[in-house]
Amino acid sequence: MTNHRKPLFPSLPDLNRRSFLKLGAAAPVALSASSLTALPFADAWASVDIPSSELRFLEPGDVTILTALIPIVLAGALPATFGSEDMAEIIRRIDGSLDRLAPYIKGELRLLLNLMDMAPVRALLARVWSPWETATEYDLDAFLGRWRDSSIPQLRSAYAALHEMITSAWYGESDSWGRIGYAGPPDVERPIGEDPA
Amino acid sequence: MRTRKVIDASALSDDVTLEADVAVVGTGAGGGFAAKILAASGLKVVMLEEGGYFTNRDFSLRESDAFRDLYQENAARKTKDSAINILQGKAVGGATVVNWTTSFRTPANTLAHWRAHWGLEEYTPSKLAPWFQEVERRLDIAPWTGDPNENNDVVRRGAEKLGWHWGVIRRNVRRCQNLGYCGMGCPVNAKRSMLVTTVPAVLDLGGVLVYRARAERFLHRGGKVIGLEAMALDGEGRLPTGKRISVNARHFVLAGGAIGTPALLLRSKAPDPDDLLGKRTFLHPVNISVALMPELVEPFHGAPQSLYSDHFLWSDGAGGEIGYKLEVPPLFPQLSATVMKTHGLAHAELMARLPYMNACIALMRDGFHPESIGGTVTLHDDGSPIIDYPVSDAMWDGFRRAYLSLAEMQFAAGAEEVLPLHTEAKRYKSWAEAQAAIRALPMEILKVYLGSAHVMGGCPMGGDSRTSLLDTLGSYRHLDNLSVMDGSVFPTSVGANPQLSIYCVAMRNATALARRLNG
Repeated sequence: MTNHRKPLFPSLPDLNRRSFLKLGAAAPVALSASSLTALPFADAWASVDIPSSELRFLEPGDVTILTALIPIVLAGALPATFGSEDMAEIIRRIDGSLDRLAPYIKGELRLLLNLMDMAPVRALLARVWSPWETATEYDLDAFLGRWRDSSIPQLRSAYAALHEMITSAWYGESDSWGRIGYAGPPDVERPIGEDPA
Repeated sequence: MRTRKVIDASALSDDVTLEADVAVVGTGAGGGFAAKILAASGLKVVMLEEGGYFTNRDFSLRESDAFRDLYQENAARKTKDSAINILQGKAVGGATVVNWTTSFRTPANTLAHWRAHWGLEEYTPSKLAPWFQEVERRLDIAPWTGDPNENNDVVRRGAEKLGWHWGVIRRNVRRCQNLGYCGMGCPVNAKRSMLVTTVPAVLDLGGVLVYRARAERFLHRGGKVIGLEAMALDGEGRLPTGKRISVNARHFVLAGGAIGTPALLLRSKAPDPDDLLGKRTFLHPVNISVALMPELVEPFHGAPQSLYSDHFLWSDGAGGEIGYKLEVPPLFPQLSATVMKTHGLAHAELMARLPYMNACIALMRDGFHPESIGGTVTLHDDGSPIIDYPVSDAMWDGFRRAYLSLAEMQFAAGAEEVLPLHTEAKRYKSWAEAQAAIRALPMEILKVYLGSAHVMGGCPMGGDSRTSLLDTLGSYRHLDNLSVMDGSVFPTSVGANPQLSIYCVAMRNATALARRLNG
């Protein structure tokens, strides 16, 4: 698999997303490389706002974290039209899935997300120095790679959990299927009736 | 046909008390067959099921819906350290609604091991043969006669080229349309699951089904179960509604699956003088190797499992180095995306290759090697179960050998690239390159991707009362009127997909129980 310590955008490690976009607007030609697929629409969901009453498990801080990580985990998979409504939708799917986990796993995920939401933990454990919403693509990608390849099983487990919630929410729904050549379930006649035995 | 009596516990507005000759907890492979045999003998049967009641018209064939409605914990159940993902069913019909229809008789080597080490003297291939034949007749179990899909054909091509054993899988289907959606509920009722066979048969015999009812505890006194308490769950199966279901019966049959069964007995504080309950729980842990093929595979189409190889299953004898069975999983977008533990462009690129992807799995035969003692089911403070399953060095050795076997088979079948699902593995372009790399991969949890779809053990049958909780007919040794009839009764893993073993043992032991209760 890819070595995630290698930066996706080697020449732009220090730019946060907003300044990157400004730069992008100023120099569209220089930045049109295919490796930037995740970026041109990056601030479309800067203001993803889901009323807490609509969420069963996730809290506002979690939404901020997921909003930052979803475009990194799914870089290259999200369509160019992916906007803040789509982001809200994928977060709602994640919320629904997490809500159905066993109570103790929910407890562990709550702890993980709460820790990630604390600035000192974010800095020390994730080594993401700026707040999630302004962290660079480079820093977020590097953080995920470090947790995935960590020598500490708990951090690998945290990566696996974040990875599973995000990838399953996206690839479980039909908006992801066209790009990967899956036509979806067939339309078949549904006969009535069992044949008891 | 009488009017069927089916109670949706989520809709109960009052507590209810039910009376029966036999209460059966769980409607999967074990509970379904036991309930049918008991009802057919004239006994009044009440079946309790935690899951929802869905039929073929409800199955959307979308993973996200199936995981929500038909699987434990949204198909994301995990062992305590999160290292093994457990796919386990949860619905009327249990896991048989979502299994891949693979039907093997209990291997003769497994039965020999059980006779030699666990006192299951009567469990010989010839004594069990009539039971197997009867189950196979009722569930239309026969070798798959259609062409294997391309995903499965990788096993044949690879094994033939290497001179390995391979065989055709027998399936419990009737007029199968070869769609490939067995894991999301059969939309055409071709799969002979408990949902369309034993459960409706019990209802037609006057039995009662209560669903969305989570069995909480047995009440027992003086070595006898005196009642069963269950909680009604809401319509989504999420939370208790506060209504209770009490069942009074002469006899109780527990078939909640190998996590649910020990958990219910632990919550009930069932007598367990030798501290055996929940111990020796087996998973057939699986590791996975993905191959990118030159031709279209479409691993989401066609019978999900039709070919297998037992070349490495018994190669060092039953108790020697851990053996493994080679099979193929279907690949649909959601589950495939979660098992490939990379992200960003590398993940997106792999997912875009899904139609050209093959995956092969190795199922570890756990519980035979002296070091392979399985996992332990215990309870959280809230009474919910958790399984702790440490992976032994003997099993890590098995996973490494399995990665090698899988990659060798995939390259022999024509793979362009092979990717063992391991966080430090890469896409290898040749068998030589893969072989060298796999030998150096660290075998550690959450680096090796591990899954399980077969939970067994934790409430073992046996001939010796100090090492088994059940006698050889599945009767609980320490509570007179309780029997266990599901995958938890096996003293080791089965060493093959367990559904047919569960049907057979449940039918055999339920027949003996019916005779006893009617005697």
